[in-house]
Amino acid sequence: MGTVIEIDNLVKRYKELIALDHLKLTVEEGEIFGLLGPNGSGKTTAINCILALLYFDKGSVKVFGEEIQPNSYEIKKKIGVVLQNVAVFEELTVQENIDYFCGLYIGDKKLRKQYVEEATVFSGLEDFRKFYPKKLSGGLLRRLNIACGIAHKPKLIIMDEPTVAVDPQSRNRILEGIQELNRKGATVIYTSHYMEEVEQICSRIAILDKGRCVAFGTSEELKGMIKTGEKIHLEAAGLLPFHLEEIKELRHVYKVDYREGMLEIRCSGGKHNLVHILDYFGKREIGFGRVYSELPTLNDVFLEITGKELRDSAE
Amino acid sequence: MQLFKVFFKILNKNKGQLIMYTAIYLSLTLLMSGVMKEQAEEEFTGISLEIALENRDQGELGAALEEYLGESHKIKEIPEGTEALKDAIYYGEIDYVLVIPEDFSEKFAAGDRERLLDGTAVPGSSSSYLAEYDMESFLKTADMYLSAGFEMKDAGDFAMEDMKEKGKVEFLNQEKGPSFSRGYYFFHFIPYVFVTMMILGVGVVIKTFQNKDLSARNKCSAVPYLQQSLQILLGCLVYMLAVFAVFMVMAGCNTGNYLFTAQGILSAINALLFAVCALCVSWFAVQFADNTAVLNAMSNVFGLGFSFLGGVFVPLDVMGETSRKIARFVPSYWYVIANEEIQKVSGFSEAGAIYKSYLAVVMFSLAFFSAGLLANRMKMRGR
Ligand SMILES: Nc1ncnc2c1ncn2[C@@H]1O[C@H](COP(=O)(O)OP(=O)(O)OP(=O)(O)O)[C@@H](O)[C@H]1O
Ligand SMILES: [Mg+2]
Repeated sequence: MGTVIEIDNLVKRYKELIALDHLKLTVEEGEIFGLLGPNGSGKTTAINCILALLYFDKGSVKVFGEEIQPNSYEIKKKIGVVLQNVAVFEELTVQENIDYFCGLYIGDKKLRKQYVEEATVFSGLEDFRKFYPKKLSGGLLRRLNIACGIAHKPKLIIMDEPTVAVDPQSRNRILEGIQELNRKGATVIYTSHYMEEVEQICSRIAILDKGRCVAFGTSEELKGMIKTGEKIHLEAAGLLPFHLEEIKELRHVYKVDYREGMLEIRCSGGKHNLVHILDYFGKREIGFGRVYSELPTLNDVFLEITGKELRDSAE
Repeated sequence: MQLFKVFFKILNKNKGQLIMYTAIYLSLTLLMSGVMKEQAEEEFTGISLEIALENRDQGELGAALEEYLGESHKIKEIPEGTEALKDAIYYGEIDYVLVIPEDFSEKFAAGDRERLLDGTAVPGSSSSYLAEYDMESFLKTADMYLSAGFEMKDAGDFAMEDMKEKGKVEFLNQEKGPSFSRGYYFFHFIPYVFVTMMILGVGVVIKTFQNKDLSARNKCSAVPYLQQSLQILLGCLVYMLAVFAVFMVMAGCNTGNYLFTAQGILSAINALLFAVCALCVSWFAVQFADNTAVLNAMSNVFGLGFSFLGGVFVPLDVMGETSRKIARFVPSYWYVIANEEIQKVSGFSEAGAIYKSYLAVVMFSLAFFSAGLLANRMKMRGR
């Protein structure tokens, strides 16, 4: 297994704004690599640097072991691109669009015909072959965008938020499709600000914030990096400040929030956290309603590292 | 050749509009060239009427009038008998019947002009007013000489000479003006058509390819950027030649063998060079058009603007000194100048002034192309 992409000390400035700040990443062959970050964190900028669409100020980007340049056409042949903004011709039908983009890579007509057909079926666009993009729903349009990017069966697929503004059903279809492409041997880079989907399909994840990679690893590794091991939510009315103080003294509990009758308790690892807490409520004879416990999410990882909510800044 | 193919698919999607414009322009051009040519011919040759005339006058004026009318019209004898006359009128053999009375000269000299000549216009013959007009002018001139103290015979002769002279002056004037070849009129309106056709045709396609997202996507592909540009350029050239060819076929249909004369070939070269120029103008214009509405506006700005400034819609002679000076800064002016010059030459060796105008159009093409390139660079850098 070789390294497909190697980004080292990448710096990209837009005038005053530092969009990428000494970014360092490696993507290995055969993985689905997730770039997770809120809006404006530099995901698209990073992708554009990998594709040599942008000149950068410092650092290096190697793709398939070679420094990428605007004229690295041999490398570009092996890359499939799904850009954040849908890029299709309004004047061409679904089928013609796929054929056009596939034709930018595949000269052989017979082979191309077969590839176009496969991509059409793969994206579930069989019933829309003769449709013009204007007539497609948002989800179908995204699928067409993907079909155009992957029809030529590239070794490396770069996708920039391919599921933005897509309903959950279409999104799941797309995610399954990406996993299928990966099973067939493609390496995938996938950017998103939806942590759930990144968690669902990516083998390794880099979390970006303000152009820097703030955390890097598998989803498990990332969650292991933070203090929170478990989050317990409890519905209770009329808790007093000294109650909260006492709860905070319990074993493993390190943070307590009480808002609008909802208590959120963060525990660092350990077992039986819920039992200890319920014991306390019993001893104090405080009544409570709903209780549930959660494992940490990537949002918690982001929150702890940057002090911001990934979700709030993203949505 | 993916981009080249898509170039024409996009054009094809917009063909309705293009065909509509072509049809409108073609019919306009044909109509205008037809109308203007006929008008010019009419003025030049005048209309020859069949006039049935009987001169009963004993004096000199009647004879002079008869001779004068005979110059531009056909004089016949009045058929004998009412039946024959009616038939002749019915079958259109006669446009005007005139009997010059016996005492015509006498009465005229005495200043008695009331109901002196008894002419009858054939009902429904719209040209017969001409006979009356001719007679009127002649008699007025003769009257002038009479009042100046000339004898009746001399007055008649002088009047006749004067009238002939006047005809000649008109004739000279018109030959000096470029009015007589059908080819001139057909080619005259081409600047408007070509500029509009190029901006609406090529403009739409280039605008699509320059779309930010599509151009980024195309740059990610394995087709070298230079090759992509060349494919689009090739598309532009093919489209331009196709438009040119359509118009040359139309010119051929409309102007007969004009295209196979030296003048016709010079006109065709003029049109081809202008087509190239219109292409460059559209390349320039599209850099400032982000949507179809703006592009349509551009086609009007450049199409109409060039035509009004350059003397396509308003003849250059009519334009003031200042306007003519401004006109030098639009390519259509040089096209129109060349088109006029072409009418004055009969071979390629005399065409020096025309080549100068050609050169001016070529320079404009280069200027617009470079300016478009510059604007394009700036736009790309802005992204
Ligand atoms: N062409 C540009 N000129 C100036 N600033 C830019 C330009 N493109 C991006 N930026 C800025 O660079 C930063 C990173 O933008 P980028 O598009 O890479 O973010 P992103 O992570 O892809 O966000 P999103 O989730 O919204 O797509 C942002 O602050 C953005 O405002
Ligand atoms: Mg982005």
